[in-house]
Amino acid sequence: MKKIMSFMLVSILLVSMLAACASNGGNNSNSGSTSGETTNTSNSSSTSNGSSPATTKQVKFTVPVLPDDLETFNLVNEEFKKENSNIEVEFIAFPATQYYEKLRIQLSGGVEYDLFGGVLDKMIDTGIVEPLDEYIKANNTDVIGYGELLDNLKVNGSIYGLPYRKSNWMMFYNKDLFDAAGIAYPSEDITWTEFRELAKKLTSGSGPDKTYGAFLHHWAQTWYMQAVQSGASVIDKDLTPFIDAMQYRLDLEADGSIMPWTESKSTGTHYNAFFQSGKVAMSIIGDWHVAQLRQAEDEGKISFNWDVTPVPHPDGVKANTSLGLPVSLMMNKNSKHKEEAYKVIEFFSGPVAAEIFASRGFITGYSNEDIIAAYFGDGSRNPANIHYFFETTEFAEYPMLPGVKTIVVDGIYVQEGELVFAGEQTPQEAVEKMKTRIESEWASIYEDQFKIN
Amino acid sequence: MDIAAAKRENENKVKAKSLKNIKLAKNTFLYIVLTICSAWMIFPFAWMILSSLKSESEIFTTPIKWIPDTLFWDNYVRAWTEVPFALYYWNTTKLVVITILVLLFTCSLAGYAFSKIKFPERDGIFLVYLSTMMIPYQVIMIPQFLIMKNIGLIDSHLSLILLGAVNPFGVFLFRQFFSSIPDEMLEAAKIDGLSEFGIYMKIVLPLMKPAIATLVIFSFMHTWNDFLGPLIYLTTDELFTLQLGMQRFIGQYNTEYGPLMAASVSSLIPTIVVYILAQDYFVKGIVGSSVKG
Amino acid sequence: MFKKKEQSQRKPLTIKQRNRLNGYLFLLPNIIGFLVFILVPVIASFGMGFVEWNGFGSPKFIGLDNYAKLMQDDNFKISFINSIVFMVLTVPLTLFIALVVAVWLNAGIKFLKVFRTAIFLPYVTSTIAIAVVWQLIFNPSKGPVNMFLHNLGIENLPGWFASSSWALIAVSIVYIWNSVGYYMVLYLAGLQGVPEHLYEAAEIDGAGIYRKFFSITLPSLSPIIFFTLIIGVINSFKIFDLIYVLTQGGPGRSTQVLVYTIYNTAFKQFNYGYASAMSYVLFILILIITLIQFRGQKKWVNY
Repeated sequence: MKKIMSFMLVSILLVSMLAACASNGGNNSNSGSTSGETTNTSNSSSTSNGSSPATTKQVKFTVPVLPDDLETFNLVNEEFKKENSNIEVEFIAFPATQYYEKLRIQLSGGVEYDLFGGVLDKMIDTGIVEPLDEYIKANNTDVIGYGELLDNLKVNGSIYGLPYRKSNWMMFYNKDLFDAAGIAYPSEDITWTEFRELAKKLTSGSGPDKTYGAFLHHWAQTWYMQAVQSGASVIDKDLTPFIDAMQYRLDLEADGSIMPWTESKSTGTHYNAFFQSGKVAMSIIGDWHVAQLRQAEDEGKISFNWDVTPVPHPDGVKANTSLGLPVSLMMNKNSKHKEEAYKVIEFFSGPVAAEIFASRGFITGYSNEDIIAAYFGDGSRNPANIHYFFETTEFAEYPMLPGVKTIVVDGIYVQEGELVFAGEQTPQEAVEKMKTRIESEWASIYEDQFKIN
Repeated sequence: MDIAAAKRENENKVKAKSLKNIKLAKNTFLYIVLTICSAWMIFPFAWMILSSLKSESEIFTTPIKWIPDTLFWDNYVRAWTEVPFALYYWNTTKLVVITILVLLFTCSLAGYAFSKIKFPERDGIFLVYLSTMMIPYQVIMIPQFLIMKNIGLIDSHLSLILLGAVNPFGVFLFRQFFSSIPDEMLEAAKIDGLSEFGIYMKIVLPLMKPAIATLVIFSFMHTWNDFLGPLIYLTTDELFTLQLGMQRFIGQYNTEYGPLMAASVSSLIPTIVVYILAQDYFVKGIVGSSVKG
Repeated sequence: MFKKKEQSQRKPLTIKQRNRLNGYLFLLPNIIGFLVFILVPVIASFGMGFVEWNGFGSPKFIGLDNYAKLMQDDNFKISFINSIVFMVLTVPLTLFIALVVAVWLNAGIKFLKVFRTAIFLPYVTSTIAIAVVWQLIFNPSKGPVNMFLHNLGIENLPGWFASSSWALIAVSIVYIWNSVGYYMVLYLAGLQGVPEHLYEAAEIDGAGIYRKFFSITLPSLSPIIFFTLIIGVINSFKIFDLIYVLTQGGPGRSTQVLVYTIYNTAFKQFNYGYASAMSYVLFILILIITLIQFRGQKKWVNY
């Protein structure tokens, strides 16, 4: 009996210890977790209009953003602090590949982020993204600087985020390889037909020493791009343009001028490393590649000269038509400090911030002459033709609706495309399957609730 | 007679020799097979180590380049300095040690109960334990998170310790190992007047060294390599673990394999050390002797 | 005056009561945590199978709609079949190889620790490293496997990771390679519990290696083998990391297994209700297999 009593005591002690730790941990975690408000200079008036610090209360925000952007956000924050002493902003980042999972789990668990960065389509279905139209009006925010992009971000007629940056797709080319072959650099008006011919001419050698005319990474965008450039959308009911798009890639592979899909996937060949190796004449990829190549130059890894030019376009489509993807700052509708939160959103996606982002090589959502100039820099760095990035006519990579990226693009398009490039089905068969799958896997769930514009 | 005896002796010698030869051949064969198997097992590990010493452009070349031209220690410098690697090491160690201790304590007790104490609801409860192992972790993650949030344990190490210590796997493991101890031993001890707890402490637990060692190895590895848990629960950088720290090198568009492999190799070492140390408990004789009498 | 209450009213506990008391006391530390952090979430996620929920707002009760949808869902059906095929391909082979290796290594041989560590290494190697090296090994045109097969004169070389007919087999091979060490450790631990004197007695009786193995080793090891069978099946259904890094479910959907689909549904498409429903179908499947094994254990497991 004694032993049992002592045993019970031990267990009870253990459990109560854990429980005590829990409540302590609770206290700790409250202070350590996200945006609580610290009311320092307490004021009875809770409305904050305009920028007179005397009548506004102190607010602290913790804002999650994508890790690639964190450093720049912190830089811009220095400027923000000068004009907004009552709003303290701390930016944090989550690992890139799990960013949205973590953000959403935390948000749904009740962690209070008043605002956050990201792509709209991954957050809009939560129902907690606050429409910004009223705030834009009330604050007279200049939205002209965002151009047509803002319309792409409208869902069911409202604006849900202000884009602080966007990506564009460009063609990067190895000037030395062109020189060696005695071929003129690609024209800015190059069509996909011309591209194919050019790629053939620039392919030489075989085996490990082979130089490829072109490299198209194994993402679906690289092949469906030409359909979208003509105005098609990945969730159209009629997917005929995509048959030709797939066939085109098959043709390029048959010509031998690009690395076959199966090979690039199974060898993990990455556009960055491969272009740097000098074995590719032309590479079609997004603008983030500029920063990667510049870094490689700094580290002395690239021994050749390179430049950019617009991506090829289908016949009848304007030159420098490309795919783009905006990343925005969005507001939590459960925020208790919406006025202040809007101020943050407005500032960090506005002209002052954009200039800083642009000077660090980001294509920004907002643009004006100063910003473009900041992006070009002093012209001392490659690419020489960097101006193309700010002159593109953009189509969104995919309609920014919930589920499109994950279900349709990364799921259906990648999977069916893969089978085509592995030689297991024809483009026609693939497109037939894609139509049915889009209907059953995406449209049946989302089509009614969410419409572009 | 002598000749016959000598002949027999010769024959025996020949037989013995050929037996020896066969044994030698068998052994050699065994060693060769084992060596090939081991080499094959080591390949990716070797790649990992070699890549951690290569500059980025050397890692994915065609044809593949196994040995780096120069030993690129910079990867290790970056792995250890670009993130507070030492702090993460400490965090992870602390987490793992505490989790294992709690785990051993609660799981051995529970395993013993499920195996050796006969109470009516025992098998039913055990089946419930077992069933919960069949649900993918991804699905219970959300309710778990909500519960943790309500207790107020988000962004703390305690949340991870608690989650790690309630793994039914450990209970199942101990139950099976306890079951291999014959009941007669326990009966004898009971007749001698030992309480249930006494039996547990004095007789059964010492026999559990292989089980304990096994659970230590597995739970060490599991907690050490746990990524999803720390990802979801930890936000403050000072609390981060090694796995989270390594994500720094996996970007949206580009993965820096050099530092990533350096970080992976650095964080591997404790696991291997634990494994080698725990091996000592897999030596025969420790267990066998105490079964007699 | 104190009545000595205890002496007159205290009855000795019956064996059943005492066992119950002991049983629950021993269980107590573990079961509290288990209830709060495992059982409650499991039950909650069962409930989630009947709602539509993206993590925000109130879950919308939709009864059996999720389950009805599953029956029509191609993705689910494909994943289901892939998972079963994968389990059949991997579990028996892994356990068999692990057992053989464990028995071999348990005999006194030189460099024992070296071999044991080597065989365990795959389990601790980073998944990325594993993926890279195996992609190289299975490269359809330049990898050693196909070059070897080519030299044997085989014409239609398997496409391995690049072919939807071979990808699952390739992944299975990698998985077996990866897991053998894990189960070997378990068997080695179990082998320590086999009483030495049984072997000695058998040897005196003139038993050879096979006899000893089948009559002594296997029966003594049977609780552990049972354990590994159950765990092995469960683990094979839970495979995720390897697929995520090796094939991402492709080519096409040939390596898309249930947990991968569940993960995508829950964390990429944020459709928790549907993911929960899928999980519970998986659960029922595993439960059935496990129950069959439990029934069977009476026949061959020695306790």
